[in-house]
Amino acid sequence: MNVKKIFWTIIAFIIVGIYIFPVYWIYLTAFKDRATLFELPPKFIFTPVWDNFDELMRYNALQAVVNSVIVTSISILVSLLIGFLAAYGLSRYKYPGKNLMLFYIISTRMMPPIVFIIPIYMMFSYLGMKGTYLSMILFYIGVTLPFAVWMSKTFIDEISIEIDQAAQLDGFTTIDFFRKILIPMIAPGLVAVLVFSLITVWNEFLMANILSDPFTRPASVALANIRGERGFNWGRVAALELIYTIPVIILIFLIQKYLVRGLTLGVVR
Amino acid sequence: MTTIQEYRSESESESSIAVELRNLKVVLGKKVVFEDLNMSFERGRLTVVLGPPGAGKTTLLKTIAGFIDPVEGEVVIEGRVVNDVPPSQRNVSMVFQTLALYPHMTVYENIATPLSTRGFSKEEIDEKVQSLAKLLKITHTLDRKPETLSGGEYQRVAIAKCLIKDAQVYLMDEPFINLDLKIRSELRDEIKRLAETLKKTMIFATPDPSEALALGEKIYVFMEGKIVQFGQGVELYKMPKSLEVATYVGEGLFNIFKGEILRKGSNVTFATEDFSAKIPPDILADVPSEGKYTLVIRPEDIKPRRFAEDSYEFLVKGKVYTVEVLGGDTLVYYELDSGAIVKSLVNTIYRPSTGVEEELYFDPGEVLVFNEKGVPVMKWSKSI
Repeated sequence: MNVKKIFWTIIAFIIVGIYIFPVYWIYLTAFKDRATLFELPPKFIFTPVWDNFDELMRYNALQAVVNSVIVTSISILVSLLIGFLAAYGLSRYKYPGKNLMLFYIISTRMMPPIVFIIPIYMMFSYLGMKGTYLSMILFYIGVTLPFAVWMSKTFIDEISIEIDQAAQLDGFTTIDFFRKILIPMIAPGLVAVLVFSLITVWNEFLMANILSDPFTRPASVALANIRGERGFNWGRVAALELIYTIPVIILIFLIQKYLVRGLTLGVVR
Repeated sequence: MTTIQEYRSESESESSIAVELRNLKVVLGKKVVFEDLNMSFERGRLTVVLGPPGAGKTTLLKTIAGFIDPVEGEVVIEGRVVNDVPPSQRNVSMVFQTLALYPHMTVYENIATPLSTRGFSKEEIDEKVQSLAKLLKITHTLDRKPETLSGGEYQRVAIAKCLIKDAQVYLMDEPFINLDLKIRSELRDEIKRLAETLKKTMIFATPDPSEALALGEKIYVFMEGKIVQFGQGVELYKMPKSLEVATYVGEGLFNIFKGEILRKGSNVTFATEDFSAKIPPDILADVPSEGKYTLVIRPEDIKPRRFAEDSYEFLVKGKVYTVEVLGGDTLVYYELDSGAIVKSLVNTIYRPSTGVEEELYFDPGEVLVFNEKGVPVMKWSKSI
């Protein structure tokens, strides 16, 4: 190992450390009781306690994480499906107004969400859907769809039209062509789309806060509501945060291979 | 157009036409790619469509395959008008320009797809894949993914995939375009051999005149959506129908001189700033009136004095510029006083030193003369 390599390895560790430390600190906090929590200097070695988790169970806070999983998984999968089909049409067919349509799709993301928070709220409460999973799912599909369409289109554009034509000559039906040829070919791209949508929906707070009720509220909203009766209960917040991050960490580990390929698609040849 | 019409009527009596295009008009976006196009392709033979990039070769093949709908006219495959038949039901097979192998499938799966989607049994598929793989020498690659193949293997796999289907016509769209010369000529011979042994109707598009000439058979020369010539490979070389074809088929190899024709009695001379050469009047259709003309002489018809035959006429003096030994032949480049380059092909190994001045002679019976519009004015031009 030469000096240069050692240098860059150290830099890499520092950068990773900067990102990892807060997460580590939260995980540590989740296992501390109130007394250890505020000790100075902070303790890194202590006897872990499960009090915070017990408390979460008592408040049924885990339901919030389940809500998050339900709302997020349905909305990003539906958005991926619709986005892929729309992107295929936009990539492969020529029709008047196509560019305008593409612009219109992305333009819905050009204003901040706070602009349409009131109309959306009014709309859903008028429809009697306030507080339902469906209201959040519909809203999140709307939010993630423009990116899903645009990103999927880029990945489909990379595939030569001759692949489509070859599949036609080979006798594939359209469904089989999607299933056996096109989707496997752009799988890394679709995974990247999925992760972008996931991050957007999983972390969304503003709209979830007004569209959900105490039974359907996702973890992002629950976090803000479990501060505690007397002062801020950091241990409880940290415990919920720990649970909140687990599904995402598992998912990222599972799709890591595709993700790196998807994010670098077209960059590394 | 007369040749094609004649060719068609003559062949129709034997009904040996597999694919026919009638008064075809194709428009892509706002561009008319071709209009009133008539072509026919013989059954069981290889026909080459030769044309520079952008001539419309791919569009032509994709119209036959059914990916592009003609605005007017008919596409006829084995006597059936297929305008309204989707590509999957046209019974055509194609090697695409991009080759279009599926990257996530193995070579075996790629070759097998046209059969596996159509419900052939595993044994049948295996037999066909194995025999084609053997024929194309790719048996050792069957378990690999396409990305691990060399350029030549990749092309062979694409060809195998095209041939596995029992189609009425096989379309090949510039399949060898990105290969190096050696593999290219190897695969070219292979295709020729396959066409002869399998007796399949093949339409082969290429922008490379030497490839077209090597594949021989019948060649359509296609330029800007029009057929500019149709015939055997040798014909294109010996009797190009226009200056455009001559320059294209000659691929920068032909000697092209711009100059004037002068007449003194029965003597016709062609004069440029470098030379004035006698042209025998009997090869010219009409003894041309004086004016600007273009003279084309193939390199094998220009020789330095010691190799020239008796019938040759003096052309010009030139200094040896470079020498390329091509196997048993030698291509010598001479520089003229004006800086123009004259190429001469000698049928032996010949190494004159650079800068030596030599007298060049040419075969007056073999010159091609074109008028200002690029139309040939030789006698044979009337007959084709």
